[in-house]
Amino acid sequence: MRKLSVFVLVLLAASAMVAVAGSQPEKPAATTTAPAATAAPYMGKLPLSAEKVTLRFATHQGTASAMAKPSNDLPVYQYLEKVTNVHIEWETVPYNSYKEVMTTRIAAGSDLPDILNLSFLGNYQKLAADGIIIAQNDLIKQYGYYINEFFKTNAGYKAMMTAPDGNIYCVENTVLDSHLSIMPMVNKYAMQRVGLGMPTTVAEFTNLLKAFRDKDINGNGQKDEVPFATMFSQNDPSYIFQLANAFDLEMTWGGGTDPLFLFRAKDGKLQSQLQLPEFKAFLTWVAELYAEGLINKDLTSANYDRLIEYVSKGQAGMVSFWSTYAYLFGGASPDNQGDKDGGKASIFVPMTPLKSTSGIQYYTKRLGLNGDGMGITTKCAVEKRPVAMKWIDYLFNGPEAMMTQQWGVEGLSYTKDAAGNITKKTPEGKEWSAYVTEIGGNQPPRAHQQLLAVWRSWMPQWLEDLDATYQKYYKDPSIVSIQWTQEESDALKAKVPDLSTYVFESVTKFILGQTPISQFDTFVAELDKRGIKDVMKIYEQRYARQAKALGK
Amino acid sequence: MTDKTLAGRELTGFRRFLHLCRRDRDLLIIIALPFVFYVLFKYLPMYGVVLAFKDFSVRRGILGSPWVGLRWFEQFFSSPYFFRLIRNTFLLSLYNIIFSFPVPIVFAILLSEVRHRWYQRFAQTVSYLPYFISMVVAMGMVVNFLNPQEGILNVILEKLGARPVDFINDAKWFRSVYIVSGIWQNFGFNAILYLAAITGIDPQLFEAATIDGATQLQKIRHITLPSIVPTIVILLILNLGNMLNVGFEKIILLYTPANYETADVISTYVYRRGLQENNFGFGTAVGLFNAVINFALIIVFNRLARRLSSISLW
Repeated sequence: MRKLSVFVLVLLAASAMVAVAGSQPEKPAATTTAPAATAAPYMGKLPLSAEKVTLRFATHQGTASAMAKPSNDLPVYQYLEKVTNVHIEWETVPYNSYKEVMTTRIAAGSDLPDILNLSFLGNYQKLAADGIIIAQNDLIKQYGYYINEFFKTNAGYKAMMTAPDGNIYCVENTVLDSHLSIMPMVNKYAMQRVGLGMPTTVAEFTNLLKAFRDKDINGNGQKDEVPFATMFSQNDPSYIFQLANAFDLEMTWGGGTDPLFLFRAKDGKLQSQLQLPEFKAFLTWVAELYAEGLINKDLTSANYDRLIEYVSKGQAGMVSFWSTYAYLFGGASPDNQGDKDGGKASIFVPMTPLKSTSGIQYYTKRLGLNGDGMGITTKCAVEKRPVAMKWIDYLFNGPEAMMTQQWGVEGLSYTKDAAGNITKKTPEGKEWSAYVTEIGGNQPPRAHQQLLAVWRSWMPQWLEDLDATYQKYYKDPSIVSIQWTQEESDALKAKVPDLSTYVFESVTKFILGQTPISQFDTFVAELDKRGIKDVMKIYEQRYARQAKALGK
Repeated sequence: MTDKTLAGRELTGFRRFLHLCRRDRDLLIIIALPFVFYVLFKYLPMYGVVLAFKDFSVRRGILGSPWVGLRWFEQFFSSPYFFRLIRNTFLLSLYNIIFSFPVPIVFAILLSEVRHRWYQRFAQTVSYLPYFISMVVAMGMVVNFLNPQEGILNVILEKLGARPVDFINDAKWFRSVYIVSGIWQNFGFNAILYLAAITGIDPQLFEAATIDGATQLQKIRHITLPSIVPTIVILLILNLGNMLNVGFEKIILLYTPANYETADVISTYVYRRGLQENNFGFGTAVGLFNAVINFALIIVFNRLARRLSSISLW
């Protein structure tokens, strides 16, 4: 036993020595890194470097079918390398494990790439203070030609990309904030079968679902209808919360771990929405829909594939998802008559917003940035940083880079005549937008601009026309997700996870009828006990900065 | 030639050590790799537990980060979910031992009694298969089977005139789903050790018992079971010592906010608060708490086993 103790002690001593040797504090990284410019100002000229430069870029592999995993095997990336003279060594991680993989790697502080997608990897100021990324202000000033052009006409985006300390740590993904986001889509043939039209009020919505349930919309003689196929999870509750506008609530989904939906601003002040009588009314309604069998019973575990399954069996009269997918649901529906992609004619039609109790009819716009951001790490050699910045800049807003997003590669997915007219080109048996995605175009899984032009190049005409008529329904969210300070971020980290767990657990149980609505007051009191007011104070601080930064 | 002498000379101290090393070099080579593995991957990383008392900063490194005393432990103990997490973790482990632990033993005994070799092999292969299905796929199957709308189990229940049950969303059912699916996944594979132990029993014992007129059940009770008791006890102690180590992978795949009440365990909580929030200090503190409890449990159960059965790990 004594020998064993000595052995363990020696081992522990050895570990401590290795630890000391292996964890020498690094010096804080300099934040201003660009060498002084001596040549003429950079104007976005290609190639980005006279000599071939190699950069390592770590990113996730994308969230949707409209994204391809970046790879030098894909024609778009080969083309971009040719025009920029920058070779990228891609390190890609599946989207769902990106956060865990990268936060662990960041914590180890070694083997960082030159450029890092900062998608939900934490507070940018903290990452910079920890010596992981650098501030890009000076680099953007000198080498961010296209970014500066973008900022000239998009001051709001610049404000949102700027951290409270005045630095820009990464260029972020801009989103199409007012075009066909998450909303219910209704099968127009099912509506015809039950003799009802597009609902505009909560009562009409409920009646339509009841008709779908009772009138055998798939005509198979069985009571197997799923009137409203939807989802509700802690990862994304917006499929249900989007409907709360009809109750004069504004439950904006902040993505990741920012529970923006907890609050809204009214008359310049923040309100805790979940404690309002309007939320009780909303919950009561959703719980009734569930109890009446109008929502799929598996809404907490359903995913896109499950929704498609309900649609393909003709069971779903209404489905809630990204309405840009309306034509895919249409294509899967038995009501689709020989239209392979479901794109030619509408079947599942995005629903007009329901009128709220105060008579307003609107959808909340999505937040302008979605968290994908390209940061330059401290491990990027100082002499490479100008090229890294130029590459980020070029891919964000450079004309050829934009072309690859919209059209793919000339000769492969499109041809251009002498007058500059573009014609789509697709190999036999392939659908054009899927082909553009397959070769690396469409939406890349890195910071980029979601462009209406890109969207229009593959959207069915009927959906695009519908989108135009829906523009009048979009309204800015009252709270915008501008950046947290490091202190705010740390304070939220201690409070929000437990609070979120409680909120989602309670709301799910209310919806499923496991907790009766009569206990809503207990829920409200418990939120106070669990510190929702403290969290709201932090949101108020940010809201004050929002008013200053965006003027609203 | 004894250990202590070489060519008539008495060896002591370092010389004796060298002599022994030379003599047992083959054994030492065999043990070297596992030894290096344990030192590199099990002991050296242990210094990381100091993170439990520090506010980890990547720039300053593990030892350079500022000390925060027991801040993370206080946060964990004062979390409204502390007792629920402990209860859920403990109960899932306990039920696992009560219900899952005996199944492979029974299965191995039954399998060893099967006379048809082809059937024995067939049953064994079929019982192994679920173990080799990836956890994600296996849990996807479970969720589909139990789907309240169209899951096969609910379809059967409805045909029998019963009301469909929302197995996944009803917190009351979570533990049953977890345990039963665990048995389905693992019992075949876990039976291997017991089958090996049964194969090692001297066949003369069975022959003698047959001559003495013992029935099949008597042979199981008086020969098979006592012969595999050491294997059972050792595996039981190891299982008991891992009581708070409920794997989070399976639970993450099965839990929804509606079943947090019974499904949320320490490891899933650490995943949400430690890993997803980049709060490595908090994650380490909870992990350390878990490890200390497990360490205490393994010592207690080992002593208990030694006292009751004279079989123990050490």
